[in-house]
Amino acid sequence: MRKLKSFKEEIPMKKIYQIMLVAMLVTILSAVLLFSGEAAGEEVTITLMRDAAEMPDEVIQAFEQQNEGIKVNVVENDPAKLMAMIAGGNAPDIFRINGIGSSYWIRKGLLMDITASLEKSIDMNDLFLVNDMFRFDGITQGKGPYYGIVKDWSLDYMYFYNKDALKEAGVPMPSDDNPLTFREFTDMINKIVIYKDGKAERYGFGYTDDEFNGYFMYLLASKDKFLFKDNGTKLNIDDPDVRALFKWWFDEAKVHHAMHNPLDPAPDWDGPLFQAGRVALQWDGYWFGPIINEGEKIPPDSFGFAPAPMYGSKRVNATGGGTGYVIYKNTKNFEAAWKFYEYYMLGDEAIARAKSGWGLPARKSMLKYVPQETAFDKYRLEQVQKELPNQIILQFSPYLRDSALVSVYNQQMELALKDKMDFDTALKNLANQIDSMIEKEMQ
Amino acid sequence: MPFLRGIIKIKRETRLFYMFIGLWIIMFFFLNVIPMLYSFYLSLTSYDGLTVPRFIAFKNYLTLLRDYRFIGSLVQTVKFTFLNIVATLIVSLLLANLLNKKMKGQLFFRGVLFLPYAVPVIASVFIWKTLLNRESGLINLVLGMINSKLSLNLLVDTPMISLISMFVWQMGMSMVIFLAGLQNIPRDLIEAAEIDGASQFLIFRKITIPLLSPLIMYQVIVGIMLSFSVIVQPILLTSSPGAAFTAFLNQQPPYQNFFTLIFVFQQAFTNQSFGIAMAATWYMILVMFALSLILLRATKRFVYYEYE
Repeated sequence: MRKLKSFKEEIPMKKIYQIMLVAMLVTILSAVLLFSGEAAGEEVTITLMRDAAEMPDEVIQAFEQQNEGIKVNVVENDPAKLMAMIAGGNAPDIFRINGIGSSYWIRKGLLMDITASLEKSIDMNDLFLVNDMFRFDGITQGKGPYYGIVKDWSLDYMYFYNKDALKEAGVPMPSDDNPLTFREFTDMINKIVIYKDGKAERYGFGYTDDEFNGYFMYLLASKDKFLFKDNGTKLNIDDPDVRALFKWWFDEAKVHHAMHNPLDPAPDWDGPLFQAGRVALQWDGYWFGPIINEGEKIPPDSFGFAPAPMYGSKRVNATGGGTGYVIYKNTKNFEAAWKFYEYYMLGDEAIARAKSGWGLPARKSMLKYVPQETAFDKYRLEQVQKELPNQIILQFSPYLRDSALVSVYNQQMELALKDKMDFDTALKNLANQIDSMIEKEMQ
Repeated sequence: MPFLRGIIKIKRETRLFYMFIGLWIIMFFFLNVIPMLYSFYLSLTSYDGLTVPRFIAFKNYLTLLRDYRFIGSLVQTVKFTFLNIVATLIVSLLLANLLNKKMKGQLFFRGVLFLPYAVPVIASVFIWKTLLNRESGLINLVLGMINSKLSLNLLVDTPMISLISMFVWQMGMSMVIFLAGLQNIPRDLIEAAEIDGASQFLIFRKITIPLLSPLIMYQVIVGIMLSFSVIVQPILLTSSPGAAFTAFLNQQPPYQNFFTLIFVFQQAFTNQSFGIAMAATWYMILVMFALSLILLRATKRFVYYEYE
């Protein structure tokens, strides 16, 4: 057996230093290669934060093929990640936000004014009013420069209804031309609820969770009132109509079981539930239409598409979300970012989106591409066009992210829904939390 | 140069030791110490993630003491930690004890019981959500066969128990650790006790548990750290409505599953209050530190080390 030498003799110190030096050099070289910037030359890389379902890879690859020298680094859409990237100083060049909350981003100085670029590309009169959601002059949303445009849109306070469910409940069909009053609308949705053994077998209405502030804002606009007061610095909770709407939403969940809520969560999102007859009325606009058409699961003529109910005397309708793309104010590659923006928002991709029927196009000249082959598609477009003259731009607070009110409502109201707190205390806590968030923003 | 002469004088083995752990020390410093110091600094500011932090001293800490939601989240986190650790340890110890006995299919059962531990977090949440779903879950399906009116709304009525049952299902690693501990218990001790007429329960209480106590203590400490780190499971498993169209940011678990880390996440990314979020994190660290101190004191009384 070979006699083992001591450690010192087996591996001389010099050898160990050499190995460690090589290891360090390899590590440093790998790090340099991994984090090296763009290759020398003319290639430019822009970072795009997108939603893969609405902007598949093929769309991006087609842009890269048409624009040699521009590479698109794709990041999946995630609000928390976006905040982290901005805080970390590596914000995407182009990202996705809702128009309703754009005033917050504009006030923070995070968005590029694209008015001049838009004016060079298109006739500004070709833009629908909805694009004003991305305008903010520091006081009023809907005025001032353009900081983005919508990728597509709907008038979100119209609603699709299941005719069979209404017949079953003995409720008259709403008119295609004359909107119901808010009281009539509420009576209708409460009558069509089927609630048994502590669970809703059929909800009275479905809604888009993340945009529930929009319902309140559009309803109040019918009375020329606003959800926020003093230029968006306080929740207008002292106004009896604002309070009444919060109470209404709360009671619809707790007392009437009219919609999904923490006490009776929905097993799935409203699309499949509506198809299965589990939701009788979907309080969402044009964009929900393809769910009804989808795979011919249900006969389209079983559904109606009614104008938005009226809370006050003024007939109004609006877009509650208005998803669009914007360019980061401090982008280092504006020209390349604008090229992609034009390609996706103003050109052939915008036409493709219009043809899909999932929303109306940002530009009036592209309305002709919206599907009109079936009777149902023609009908839903006609209904929208009747509502267009009533369109307004909703005013959200520029001191809050649009998701804040939804989140705070879910945080504060749950205890009241579960009888751990009374409604008034929960509402006061909600208002205090929103007001203190705004106050912090203003400091 | 005296400095170099000093280094050369240090024993070769000592130099080698520091060279090998040097990289870890550097990484620990940059990936742990500096972020912790930065988070403490942020907790003293009103940082919103977008603009320059503004120093406000300990205002965030005082604000949190008056925030009933923060206090509630700490209480729920401690409650969940206690129940989760107790349930997981009891089930894993009993199963390990059973699997330590010679029986047919011993290897098969060990594999099957360990398997859930290997299931990724998101997949396990969806499995349990499907199981406990009021409308189409397996549990309610079986109950419905017994009586059509029987239906449990477990995710809404008992959200914390639903969450803990998912963690207990994934107790595989804890079970394996106990199994290893059981196999290290000297057989002659057990045999001596059996000869003296001790029952199996007495052997378990007087021999097995004391000899396993260091492992139990280790699992409790690790369990505290893991339970305080839970965030994804309560949100995805027990959050209320909306499914696809509700952003993760807006999903709200029921108050029983509203833990401190969820509060921190919401403060940072929904409310844009990174300062408050960091202050809440430091409070959480203090609570974990206090719990660990209590446990270390308990070690002297309840933990038996063979080398003592």
